[in-house]
Amino acid sequence: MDHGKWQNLRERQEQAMIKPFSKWFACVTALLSLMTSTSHLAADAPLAIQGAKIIPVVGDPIPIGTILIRDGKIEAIGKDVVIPGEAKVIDGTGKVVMPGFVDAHNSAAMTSANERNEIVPFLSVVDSIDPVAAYFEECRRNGITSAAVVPGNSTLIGGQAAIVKTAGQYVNDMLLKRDAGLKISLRPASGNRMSQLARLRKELDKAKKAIEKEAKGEKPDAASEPKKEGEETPKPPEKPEGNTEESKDESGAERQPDNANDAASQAAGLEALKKAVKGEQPVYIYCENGMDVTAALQLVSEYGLKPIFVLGPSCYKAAELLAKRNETVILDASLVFWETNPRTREDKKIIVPQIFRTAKVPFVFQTEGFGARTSLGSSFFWYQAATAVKYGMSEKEAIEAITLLPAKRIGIDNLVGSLEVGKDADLLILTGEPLSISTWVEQTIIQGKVVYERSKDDKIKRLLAPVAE
Amino acid sequence: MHRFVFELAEWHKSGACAIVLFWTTLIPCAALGQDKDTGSDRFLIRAKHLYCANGQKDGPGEVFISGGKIKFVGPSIDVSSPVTIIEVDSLMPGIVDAYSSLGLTGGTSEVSREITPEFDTYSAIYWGSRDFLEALGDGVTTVQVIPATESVFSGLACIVKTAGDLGGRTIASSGTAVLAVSSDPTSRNRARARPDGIYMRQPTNRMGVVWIIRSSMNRVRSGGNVAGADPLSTDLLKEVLQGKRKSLAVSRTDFDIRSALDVGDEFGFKPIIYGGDEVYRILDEFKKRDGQVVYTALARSAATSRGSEGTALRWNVPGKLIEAQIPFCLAGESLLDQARFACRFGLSHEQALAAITSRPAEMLGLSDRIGTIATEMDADLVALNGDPLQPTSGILWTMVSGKIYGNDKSKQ
Repeated sequence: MDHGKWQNLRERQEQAMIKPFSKWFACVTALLSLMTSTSHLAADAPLAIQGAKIIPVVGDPIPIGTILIRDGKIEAIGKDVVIPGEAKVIDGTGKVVMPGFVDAHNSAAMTSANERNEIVPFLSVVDSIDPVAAYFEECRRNGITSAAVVPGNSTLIGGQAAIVKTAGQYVNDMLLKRDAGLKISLRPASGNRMSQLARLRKELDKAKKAIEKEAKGEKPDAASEPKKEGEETPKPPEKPEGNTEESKDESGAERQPDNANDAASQAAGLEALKKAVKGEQPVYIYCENGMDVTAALQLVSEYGLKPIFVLGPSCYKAAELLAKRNETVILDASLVFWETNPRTREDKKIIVPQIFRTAKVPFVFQTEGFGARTSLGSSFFWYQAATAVKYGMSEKEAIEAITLLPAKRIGIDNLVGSLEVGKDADLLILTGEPLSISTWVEQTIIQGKVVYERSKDDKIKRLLAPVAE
Repeated sequence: MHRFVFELAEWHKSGACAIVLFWTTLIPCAALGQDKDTGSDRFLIRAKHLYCANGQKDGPGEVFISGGKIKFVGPSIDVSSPVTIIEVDSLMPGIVDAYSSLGLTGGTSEVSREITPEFDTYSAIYWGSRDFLEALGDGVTTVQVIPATESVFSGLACIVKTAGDLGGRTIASSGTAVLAVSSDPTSRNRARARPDGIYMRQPTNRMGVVWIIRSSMNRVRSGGNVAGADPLSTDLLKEVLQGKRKSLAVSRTDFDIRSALDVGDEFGFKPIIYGGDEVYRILDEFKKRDGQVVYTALARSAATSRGSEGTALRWNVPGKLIEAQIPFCLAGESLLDQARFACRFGLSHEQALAAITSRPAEMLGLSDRIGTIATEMDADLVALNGDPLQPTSGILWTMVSGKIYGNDKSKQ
């Protein structure tokens, strides 16, 4: 007991001793945390790139200028920008600074681009974006700073696209826009074009009717509505978001409990379609060939869709049709190819950018094959732009077609696409002129943070100095 | 006439002309009753940048062509007789592709037998093929047509130009003997095929590929006939053994390249390696053994990918080959783009251009005829509207043996 008393006393004494200490400790911790936060601030402290040629895309190039970046935004840009003392300065002498490239349509960031169910408007690509995917690494290496991740070209209604920055630890760090548009593909994955269109119309009609009912003040139960009308598809019930591959393998019995969820996803899908039909959200429409464009234009006028045309290689045949809409289209990655007329046997070189230029249809590019087999060069936006220049486009226009124009097309030009005060500091430091074969991305900066440095890129080093491992 | 030419040059210098293709037939030409169009075979081409690919520094230059040959190259040529004058920005030699399947029709590989060294690609070329148009559009003027390599002794390569009348465009029929020292010949086999079907063949593995070469060469060396093959095959292989016929081996992995050289050493012939993806892994050995390589891996991808047989692609293998002074050239599809990317990856401008013109010509043993811009060479030329190695530059036209083809109307 005595002993215990002693112990208690000692503990009390110790506690008494600790108390002031702990106060002091708290102080130190606070100070430390303050210091770390300031050092954190220091990392985010103004960044200035000095002495480089600046291509702002909006306005004329500045032969030798300075860009000042603060809190991830461009604070100042010009010939005589005063650099604050606390700023970190990157010497850009002999370098070229321009906005990061914007990828208006790709599916490479998704682990699997296409859903096997063909009508899945309730899905979102956000659930399948892997921030450490090779695609994003290649983006930063090759100067892409923003990208629209869109479901693949083989699903009738493939789900919701999202727009992301190409650097971040989690998807949410990267997201610019979550529901950035619905993807519709007119390429029949199964069956023919008639049934493809009929199925699509049926879905769009559902949305249209729902909107009409709402306008009349009726409150339809969105989920049960299709059932009431006996319009449920004969297919197995559609699955909720998530790993669809797994649930596919489940037996029917196991799928039963998911019916509630299924109704929910039906409702979510209807909401997404309603947004598309109301024109509140754009619709990425993939057209495989010229006749799909005709069908797409019909759908657009019938349902009042706000389209973003994603074109297959042979859609050049419909360039005149698209010209009337005066909208930027997204071209296929293969820009130049040969065709033989099946009737006349006449061989012809098709130069897609030239055809669209002649038809006065503005366009942006896609790249192909990060990691896959591809023709030389078409993996790179600068090369696609250079190809357009080869066939008559001005260099200024071509640079715009890989920066500001795609940003406008996907509705993020208020944030990125050009170097202007107030916009996100997403920019590239290049070793030379953007469209030259010998130019490399030296640094990629996203929201003021250096996310790629060529001097630290081991992969490039390995490729350029090949040795046996 | 001279005055007229001079005026032309002045107009040019004024900087008013962005488009540099200028086409005229001078009055005396018409007076003499010569064809006003391309009928005349005398050309004077004035280039702001003349890339001769023979070590000379590039700069302004003029090339005089007559009778399908380059007759004179110099800084300024005064021609006193009728001539068609063309002004271009850049002029380079026609591109030479040492590894092509241009125009090959009706199957490119024999799948019923392993030993068909006498099969000649020249007999299977469809001269009206679109391939030739495409090649001309890409500035390719000479190709070596090689059979696909799904049989061990695949056949004979031939060398042809991409345009012209049949006699004129053939440089060599029944040329180099093509060997496949790779996994290609095993690819046709089916695991459970009928024993008498064409899918049931030896070799079913890569060891068998080498074994077929060794056993065939052994038989020929000891005066026998190649098993199951035509006597002609025996004669052909004899020529290879006696050094009377050149040979090439399609090999990509380091061990296949080594095997090709080994089997060559064994029987005293030296195949040039075609493919060569992994030659960088055995550079010192390859150099010591006097290897030569027609490198095709750059064609496949500038992005990161794997070649056939799972070879990891490397960007600057050409740079390593030049550093090691190993004879090499680039070959395969999109050769001009290959040169562009080779330059991006480390070659100098001059080295990159040579890798698709003079170097392949050397590898084919034709450097006295094609691959450079010099006197008495074939008039195989490519005109561009800018630096050939910039992706923004387009080909204006391609000249083969003094005739102009593939005018890109978009640039006029």
